[in-house]
Amino acid sequence: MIDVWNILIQQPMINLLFLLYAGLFQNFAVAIVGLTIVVRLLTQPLNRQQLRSTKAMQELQPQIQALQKKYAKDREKLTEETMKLYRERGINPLGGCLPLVIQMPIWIALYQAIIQVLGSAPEQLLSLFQFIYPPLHDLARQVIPINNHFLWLRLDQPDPGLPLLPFLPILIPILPIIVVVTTWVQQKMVSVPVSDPQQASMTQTMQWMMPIMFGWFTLSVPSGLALYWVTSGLIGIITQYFTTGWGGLRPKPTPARAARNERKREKKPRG
Amino acid sequence: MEFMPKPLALTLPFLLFLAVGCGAASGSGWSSPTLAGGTLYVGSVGGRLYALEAASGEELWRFPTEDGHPEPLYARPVLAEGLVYLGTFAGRVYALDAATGAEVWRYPREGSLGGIVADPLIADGSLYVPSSDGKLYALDAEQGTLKWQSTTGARIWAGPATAEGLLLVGSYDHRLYALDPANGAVRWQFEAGGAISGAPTAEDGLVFFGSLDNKVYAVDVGSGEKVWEFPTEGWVWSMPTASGDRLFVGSLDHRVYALDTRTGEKLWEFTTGGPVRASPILANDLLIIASAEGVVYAVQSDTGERAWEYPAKERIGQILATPVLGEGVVYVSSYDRMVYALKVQDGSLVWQIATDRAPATPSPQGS
Repeated sequence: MIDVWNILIQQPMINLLFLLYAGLFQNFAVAIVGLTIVVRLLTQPLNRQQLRSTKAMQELQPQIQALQKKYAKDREKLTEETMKLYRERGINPLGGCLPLVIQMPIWIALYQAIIQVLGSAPEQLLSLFQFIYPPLHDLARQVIPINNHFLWLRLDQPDPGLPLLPFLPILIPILPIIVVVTTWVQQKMVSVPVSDPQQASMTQTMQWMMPIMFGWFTLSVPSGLALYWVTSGLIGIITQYFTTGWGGLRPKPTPARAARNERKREKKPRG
Repeated sequence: MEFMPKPLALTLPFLLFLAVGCGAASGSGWSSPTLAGGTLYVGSVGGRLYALEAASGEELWRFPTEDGHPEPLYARPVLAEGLVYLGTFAGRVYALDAATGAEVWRYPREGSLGGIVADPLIADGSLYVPSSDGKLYALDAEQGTLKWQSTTGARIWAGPATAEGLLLVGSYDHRLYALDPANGAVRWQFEAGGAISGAPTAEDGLVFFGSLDNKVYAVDVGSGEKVWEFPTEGWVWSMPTASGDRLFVGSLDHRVYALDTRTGEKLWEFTTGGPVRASPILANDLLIIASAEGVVYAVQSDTGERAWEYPAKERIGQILATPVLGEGVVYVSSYDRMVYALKVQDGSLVWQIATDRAPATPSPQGS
């Protein structure tokens, strides 16, 4: 099983990373960005299916909310009617999850490839030899050791932060902050409005918790991996935008805000 | 139906996996054992240095003790003047009392250097410590103070050697440097085709070393000129062993080569079942080879013919550390957190001991 994983996924990814590193100015950060783009392109059919599913779910929300109002006291009936609605529209409610599950091994392989090629610990570098395709041996010979410096980062170490505040001797962790923002934006874009207060509160909590968790992990993982998260997140945001627009990121008109807007509109002609 | 949390919940295990994976990225260590005065000093995979009674495997002391924080060990412990010197991957050098394991000094006192992977060298009262930060540090062996430091272009994961009044050290910048031991000034440098990850060996005016360009090089110590090179089919990470007109060197291509030291001509090769990172060691007419597959081989040094292998059928843990030779016994440290004492004559087990347990306990013969 491990051999199959190595031959089919791990090995091609490691060799591709080597090629990208050699071809893209021997800059490992650029190679990581390049590999993330390549992997994103290869998994595009899966992404597209996931995005479509999100879009369909978002479009269906008015009907679902109507059902939730109608069957507020009968959860069993609500479930039954919701499922019926999905069937009628040909939507699989798990359609958005499956591509995510399939992509997970690819993400894991990407992470492993980055760590392996950086070879910061001797075991990683030692075992790297068996992964390199013989035609690339000569290339590997030339480029090892991989230059792991990029701007203020050492790609095999967590982001040390930058002293961005002129009057305070505090290091601001740049990558973790970007990861939090990109993850939050992505979460928000794919979110589907819900009327059930309990469910809405849970969704809200998750929308904050996940980016913070990602950011927290970024504080301790190699910044090369964080760079992958940022790149992947940005690509995700762009592709999501072209499929569903800003989605859940658009501010929802609350009754109070709607009334305020209405008053403004009324005042304007008089002014 | 509650849709939102599903993709999120699916992401959680992924994150946890990453967290576990990241923890494992720091490395475990492959410190080679050292033998001195009937005591075996061996660094464990768990980051502790053990002093064991060589005859029985009985534990004498460990460093750090149970309260201390272990640091990954790749470098071989070095002994001189009643002190044992230990370089750690956390970038610290410790001088310990060889009899008790008590810390005498540490360098640096605050902070750390780059991770120490290569074996330090002690010569003329100086301790030479190569570091992943690309520097070679010369410390006063008694006081633990810095005498000088010399910078190369990349990490130094190969231990230094001395020959003809020069200090020879290879770097990942593909160069072998010949330094003045008094001040670290560069006398000459030789550029190989790849990073140098194994320590050099000097004999009769030549220095031999391997490189990640798959080659073994012989360079003239006086001039820094190449005398010959020998191609293998894998990275040469192990330190060559020289004896008379023979040079024995392991490669990650699973083979050990016996070469003529003068010409680089191949005399024989022996194929194991895994990469050979550990240096082959000579025990009279036998050459002991530790293969990463988890097997120790003994072959006739003049023909390469197999004499014995341990274990005969099963495999022990991965062996990346160079074994050490005692009186008729060879000591092997393995990734299965065991130390094995084998008879040189026939490869039979004298004792084995499990490290990273409290307390380490020997079990005579068999498991």
